[in-house]
Amino acid sequence: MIKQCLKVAFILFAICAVSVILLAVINQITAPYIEINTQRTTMETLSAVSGGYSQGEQREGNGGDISYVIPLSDESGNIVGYILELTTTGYGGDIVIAASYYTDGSVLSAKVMSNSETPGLGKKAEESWYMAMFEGLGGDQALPESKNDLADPSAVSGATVTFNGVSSAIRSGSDYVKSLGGR
Amino acid sequence: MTYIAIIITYVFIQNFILVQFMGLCPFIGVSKNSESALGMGMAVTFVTAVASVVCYAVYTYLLIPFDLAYLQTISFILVIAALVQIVEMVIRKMSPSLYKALGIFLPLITTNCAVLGIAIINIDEGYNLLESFFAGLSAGLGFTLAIVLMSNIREKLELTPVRKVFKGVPIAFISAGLMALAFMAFDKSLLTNLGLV
Amino acid sequence: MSHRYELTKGIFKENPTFIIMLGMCPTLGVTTQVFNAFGMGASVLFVLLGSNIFISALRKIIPDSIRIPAYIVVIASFVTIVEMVLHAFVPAVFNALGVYLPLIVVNCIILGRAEAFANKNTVLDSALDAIGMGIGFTLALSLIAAIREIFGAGTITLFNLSETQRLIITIPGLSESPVRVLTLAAGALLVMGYLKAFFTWNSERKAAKGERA
Repeated sequence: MIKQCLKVAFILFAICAVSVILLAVINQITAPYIEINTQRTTMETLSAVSGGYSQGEQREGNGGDISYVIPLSDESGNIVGYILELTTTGYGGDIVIAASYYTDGSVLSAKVMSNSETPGLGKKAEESWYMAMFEGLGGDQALPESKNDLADPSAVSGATVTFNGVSSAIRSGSDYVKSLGGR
Repeated sequence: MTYIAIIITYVFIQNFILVQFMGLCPFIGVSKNSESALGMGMAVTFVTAVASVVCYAVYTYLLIPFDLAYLQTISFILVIAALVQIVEMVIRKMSPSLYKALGIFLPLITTNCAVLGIAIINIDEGYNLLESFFAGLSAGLGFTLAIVLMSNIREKLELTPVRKVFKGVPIAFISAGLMALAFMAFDKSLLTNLGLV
Repeated sequence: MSHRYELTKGIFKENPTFIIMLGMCPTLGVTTQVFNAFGMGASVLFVLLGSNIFISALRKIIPDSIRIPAYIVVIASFVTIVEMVLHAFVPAVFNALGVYLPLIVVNCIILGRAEAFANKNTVLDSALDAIGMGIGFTLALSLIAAIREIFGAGTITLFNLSETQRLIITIPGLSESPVRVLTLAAGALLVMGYLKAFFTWNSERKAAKGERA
C-alpha cells in the first residue's frame, strides 16, 4: 500500500520536475526578448512624442492621473516642454497616454501606450489621426471639451466615452504643464 | 472606499459571466433550475474567495522571491485543484448538510475559468491581499447573481412556446445576451459618479 | 476508425464549439477581431497537439488515480510555453489575447480530449485528433469573429502586428455606421445563440434527409 502510494507520488513528482525544467529552459531563452520588447515599446513611444527634443531626467508626477514627467530641452539646454504619462478611463478599461506639451500648455504630440478599452470602441484612439486632433491646441486655442468642439464630431461617434476620457486627460496634462511654469 | 469600488466592479461592471465570459460552461450547464444554480454559485464564490487569497500568497511570497514568475499559470492551477480537493474533504467532514448542497458542484469548479481568471486578474491589477480577497468574493457573487437570474429565466422559458431549433442552449445564449445588454448600464463612470475613484 | 476520420471529425461532425459546446469562454472573449481568433485558434491547436501527444505517449505510465493532476501539469506547461513564446516574439498577439491566454489551461476542450481520447488511443491517432479539433476550433472562432467584426465594426482584420504591418479590409457603408453592440459582450452571446440555433437546424435537416433517403 505504502509502496504503491510512493510510486504514484514519484511519477507525479517526475512529471512536475520535467515540466518545470522545460519551462525554466524556455524562460531563459525568451526572457531577454521580452525585456527588450517592453523597453523598446516605451522608448519608441517616448521618442515618437518628443518632437526631436532631447529628453531629460524623469520626475514624479502628481500622484494621480499623471504618473511621471520628462522635461524636454532644446540644443542649448533650455526646457521647451514636457512629456507626461497620463492614465484615464474609457468605456471599459484604462487607457495610458504619453503626451508631450510645450511649456505654454499646448499639445506637441500624443500617443496611446497601453489600452485595455473595449475592442471596437477605444481602438480608434490608437490611430495616429486621433491624437492629431489635439495637436497645437491647449495654449492660445482651447482644447476640445466634448466632441461637439471638434471640426468633425462624427470621427469619434460611437465612442464618446473614450473621447471624453482621452480629452479630459489631455486637458488635465495641459493644466499641469502650465502650473509647472517652464521649470 | 476602494473595497466598495472593487465589489461594485466585479459584481456589476465586470460581471464575470455577462461581460468577461468566464465560467460560461457551468452557466449554461447548471442553470436549468434555481436551486442547483444557487448551490453552484455559492460553491464558486467560496472557492474564488479562498483561491484569490492563496494564489496571491503563493505569487507574492513564493514565486516573486525566487524569481519564478513564469510558473504563475502552472502553480495557480495546481493550487486551485488542490484547494478544491481540500475544501471538498473539509466540508464532507465538518458539515454533511452543506456537502449535500454543494458537493456535486465542487469537482466541476477546478476547470471553471472564473477561479483561475480572478487569480490572474488580481496579480495583473496589482491588488494587495485584502483587495484580492474582496475581488475574489465579489467575482463569485457576480457569478452567483448571473446564474441565479438565468435559472429563473430558464424556468420560465420551459413553460413558454419556443421554436424547436431555439429550444435549450440557443435561447439560453440569447437570453444571456439580453441580460448582458441590461448590464451594459453599469460602466466605469458609475464609480466616478458615486465618487469612489 | 481510419486515420482520416480522426482528423476530419473535429472540423464538422464533432466540432468542439458548435456541436460539443466546449471552451466557450475564450470563444466569446477574443472574437472581436478575426486576427485574434487566428491567434487564439493557433495557440489552442499547439497546446492541444502537445498535450495529446504527451498524454497518449505516457498513458501506460500515468496511474489512473493521479491522471487529472498529471494532465493539468502537462497542459499548463504547454500553455506557459505558448505564453512565453508569444510574449517574446509576437507581443501584439500576446497583448490582444490578454487574460484569455493563460485561461487556455482550463479550456474544457483540452482536458476533455485528454480524458476522452488521448488516454485510450495511439500517439498518431491522438495527434490527428488534436489537429482536427484545433482546426475545428479555429474555424468556429473565425466564423464568430468574422460575423462580429464585419457587422460590429465594418472591418475584417486579417493581420495586425503593428501600425505598419497590418492588413485590414474596410467595408464601405458598414464601417461608418456599424452595429456596434455586436463587438460588445452582449453581441457575442446573441451571435453564439443564433449560430447554435442554425447548427441545430442544419443537423436536423440533414437527419430528416437521411431518414427519407
